[in-house]
Amino acid sequence: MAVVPTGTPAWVKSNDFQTYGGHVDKANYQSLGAVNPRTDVTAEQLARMAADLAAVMRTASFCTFAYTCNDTSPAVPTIADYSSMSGSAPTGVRNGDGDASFTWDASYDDVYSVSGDIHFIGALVIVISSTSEFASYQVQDPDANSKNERIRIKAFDDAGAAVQDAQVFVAMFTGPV
Amino acid sequence: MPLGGFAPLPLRLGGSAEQGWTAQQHARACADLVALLKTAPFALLDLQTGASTLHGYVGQHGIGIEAGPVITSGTGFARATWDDGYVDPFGQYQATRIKGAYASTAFYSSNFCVETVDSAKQVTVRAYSAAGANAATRVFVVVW
Repeated sequence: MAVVPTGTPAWVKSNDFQTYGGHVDKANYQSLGAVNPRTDVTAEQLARMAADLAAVMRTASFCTFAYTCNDTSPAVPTIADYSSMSGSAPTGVRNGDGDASFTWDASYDDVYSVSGDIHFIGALVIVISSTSEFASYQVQDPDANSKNERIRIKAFDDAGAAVQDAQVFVAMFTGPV
Repeated sequence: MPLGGFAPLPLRLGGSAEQGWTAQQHARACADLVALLKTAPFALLDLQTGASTLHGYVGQHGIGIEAGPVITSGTGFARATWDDGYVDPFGQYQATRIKGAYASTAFYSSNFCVETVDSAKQVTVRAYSAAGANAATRVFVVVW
């Protein structure tokens, strides 16, 4: 029978050190430490691993990718180098010059087939350019479930005009609702 | 093999894929966790420049606005100041040591933002319009 792990998938951001087996009173049996440090993992080591994993899990990004707006020959943006905790690349839409939206599923499964909802709390959006260009974004809730599954990003130049065919790097961060 | 029900800890590395944890798997988990620790952000903040409001906070040390830094503000900027340090779930203290930050404007507009690390526990984010005027806008900040 397949194991059902404790907690929720990492991107839900609800796991804490206890989810991973940490406990403030964790102890070795009869207070005996490792018989052989090459073969044994002690309560102290497990406790530290659980706390550190919980800490980095909280602030980890759900995904990173780069995209190129296709404005000269209008088309959906081209996504490159998509890497995420789960699932495939989002669906991209071109809204206008330098203006694109990306939509993810409402939830994804982890490797144990445990489902976790997507709720984006923010992003880093960085224009890949050698000139003074920048981007801003807004997370959106297209299915009105009080969780954000979409981001709209627009690239601007230093005059506030849209940048055609902008290239943008994105890091998406999920959080608890 | 694991020591079994009478002595679950220390865990003895080895055994099968279904009932054990091999030395190789443990080594990989340790190496990957340490790699993550070296590059993981310390905190994520949802702020508004020009206002002393923290809209959302996720930190390695805690989640929620109550876990977040103190926010002060002025025209076009917001400043976050963390405690000198934090304790982990086991009471181990670690001083706050911020190395860098990056912010993006989290409202769909032609504003942009820049950030400075003022000290080991303080970050300031300033937002501007494309023309260079101070701007009041939501920003999302990642702190390392």
